[in-house]
Amino acid sequence: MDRLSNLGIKEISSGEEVIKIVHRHWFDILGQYLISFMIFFAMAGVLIVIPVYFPGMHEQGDYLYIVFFESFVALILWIFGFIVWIDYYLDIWIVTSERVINIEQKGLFNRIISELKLSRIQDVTTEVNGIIQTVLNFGDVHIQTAGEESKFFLRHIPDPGGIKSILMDLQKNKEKEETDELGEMIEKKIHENTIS
Amino acid sequence: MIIIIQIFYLILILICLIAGFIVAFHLIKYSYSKKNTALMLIIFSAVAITLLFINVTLFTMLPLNKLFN
Repeated sequence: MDRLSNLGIKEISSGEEVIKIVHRHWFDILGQYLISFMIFFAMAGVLIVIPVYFPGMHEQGDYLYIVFFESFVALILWIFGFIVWIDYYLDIWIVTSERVINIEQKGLFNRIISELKLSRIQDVTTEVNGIIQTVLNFGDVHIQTAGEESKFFLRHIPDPGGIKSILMDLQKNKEKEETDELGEMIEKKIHENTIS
Repeated sequence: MIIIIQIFYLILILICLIAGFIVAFHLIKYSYSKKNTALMLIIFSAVAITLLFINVTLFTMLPLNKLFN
């Protein structure tokens, strides 16, 4: 698994591990790609149909205009496809052993990075709505924090139940670690007081 | 008229080039996996350059003089 430093995010501690990198479910971008595929297949159909049904157009050289126009549309579709892909690929949630990091890519020029320490998690809720989300196993995960600020929201992620389990396990471990640390501190203080 | 079409086409190609560079910039700068970045860049650049080359070639082959005569 790649380290956080690749993303320009500083590690809280040297032992911070990346547990999981979560993307939105592929179904989320399917709608956008579907339109592109339909346009592409329609263009291919036009290129095949014209010489068969309109041979005159082919002979007069008008066919070249259509090929030129279609190749230009193909170029635009290719770039558009990658812009959609970037929006999907760079929109991620990273679960580490210390925190949850939300990197939200909105289009090409808006990027929001926020993070939440595991110790601040109070409640994790999953939400799977409708037949498609149920069949494909994706949905939303809401993370309630201790403060007044709004919930951390993981939208349309695959296996929300699995992510919830991971978060809850990590949060329990973190809580246990902190309780142990506190216990050690109290024990140390009592020991110091007894000696003095 | 032909010159206007050529300028218009040049502007469109420039817009496509700029969009392509922005896509490549995002892939290089923000991707979290270097291996994936290389793969995506190769696929994107190879297809985009091919399409661009085909399109420019087709444009030069267009009988624009015939169209406006």
